[in-house]
Amino acid sequence: MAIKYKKVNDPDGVFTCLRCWDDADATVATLLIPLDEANTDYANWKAWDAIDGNTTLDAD
Amino acid sequence: MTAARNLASVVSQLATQGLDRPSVNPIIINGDLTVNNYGLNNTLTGLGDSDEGYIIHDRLRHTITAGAGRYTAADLGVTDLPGFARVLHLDCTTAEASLGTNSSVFNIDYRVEANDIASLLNWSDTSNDTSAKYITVSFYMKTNKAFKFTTGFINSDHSRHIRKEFTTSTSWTRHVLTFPPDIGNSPNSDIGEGLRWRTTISGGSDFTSGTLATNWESTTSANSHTSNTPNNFFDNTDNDIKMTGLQMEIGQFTSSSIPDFQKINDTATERRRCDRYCQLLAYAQDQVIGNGNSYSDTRLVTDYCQRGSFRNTPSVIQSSASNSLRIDVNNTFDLFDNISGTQFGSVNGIGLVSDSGVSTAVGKYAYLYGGSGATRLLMNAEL
Repeated sequence: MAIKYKKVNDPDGVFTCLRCWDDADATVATLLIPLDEANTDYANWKAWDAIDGNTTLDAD
Repeated sequence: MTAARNLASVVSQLATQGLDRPSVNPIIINGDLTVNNYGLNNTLTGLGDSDEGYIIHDRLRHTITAGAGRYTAADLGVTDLPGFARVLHLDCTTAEASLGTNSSVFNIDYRVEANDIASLLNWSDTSNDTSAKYITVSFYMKTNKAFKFTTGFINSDHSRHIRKEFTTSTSWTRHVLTFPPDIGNSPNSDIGEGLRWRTTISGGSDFTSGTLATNWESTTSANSHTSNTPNNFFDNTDNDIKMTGLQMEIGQFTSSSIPDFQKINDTATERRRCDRYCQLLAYAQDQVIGNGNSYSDTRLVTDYCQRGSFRNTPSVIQSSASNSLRIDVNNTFDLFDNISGTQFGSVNGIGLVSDSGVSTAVGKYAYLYGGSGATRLLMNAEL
């Protein structure tokens, strides 16, 4: 299991959401996560991102 | 005396029919598992290698820390349990008789939104009288052999839990378990998780090394499950579990006094209750998703067809299979793989952005729909 998170920006460079996928398992659905504190996926990302060694990829 | 007996009988029948419930609708949404948005067009083999989340039935979560055991899960039709037509079927496909990963665990969870439960429990009352309510959970389970599993609640806002053991059998058994109030520790009245029903069907030593928390206590993993066997769903590939009829009642009940399962015979109503947490937009070719506007020749923002409000701004769950999305635009069409982002979200909707691999026409309206049999697009606002 290799969960990856990547920031997604709009054309003006504003961070609008997160993309989450599993690098090791293509059958796992891809998530697009809004920046909403009440969203469970967003809360999970914040917990994941706070762990030493986990890094969220920058937007393209 | 005859009149008194008749009156007592009527009162008893009314209670069994749940007419003294404090809420009109069942606390549990989709307790009879008739709604399975997550399972449609989904591959459900080889499960157990990570936290699976919501994968088949709406509102029912497979919460897992992986060991070596694997399983398949299905929405199954049954005819041997009067009153119920759909069940969750779990089938062990890779055994792990002795759990080698101490942290491995398999829980089936139902997370109750705090707004839906806090005022019913009245656990904020610390006078220790009868106003703080007991809570009773009931469900039907049938297994290939007798297991000793554990079930109970997590008081999420206060990080406390309580557990009980129950024993399954090879015929359908209605398990009814009552838990005392967690006095002074009321869930918050908000859109977050208020109470979590959790049944554990496999747990490594991290979850079995203590003493089962049969009274409310601070959540302690070691006190969550029991080490006496048989309690491990993964101990043999012959193992299977069928479960349905999840019910939660305010008060103390036994198997003889608990109200009947409250059926919502209007299927549309139960689907609307599920819509607050998950909406399946498309799971096959040619299923409409929404209408989009072309911001440029390579960027489309779609307003999808949302039903009512979500609990929170929703996430997008998608298959990302090749050519799973299609637009008709400017007298032509284009196939592409996935939604690439979201913008301007709220509980009332969110813009679906497609700007990777899509060819549209600036300023033109586009019609977005399923592009292949592998299409799967859900909006998710689960707890």
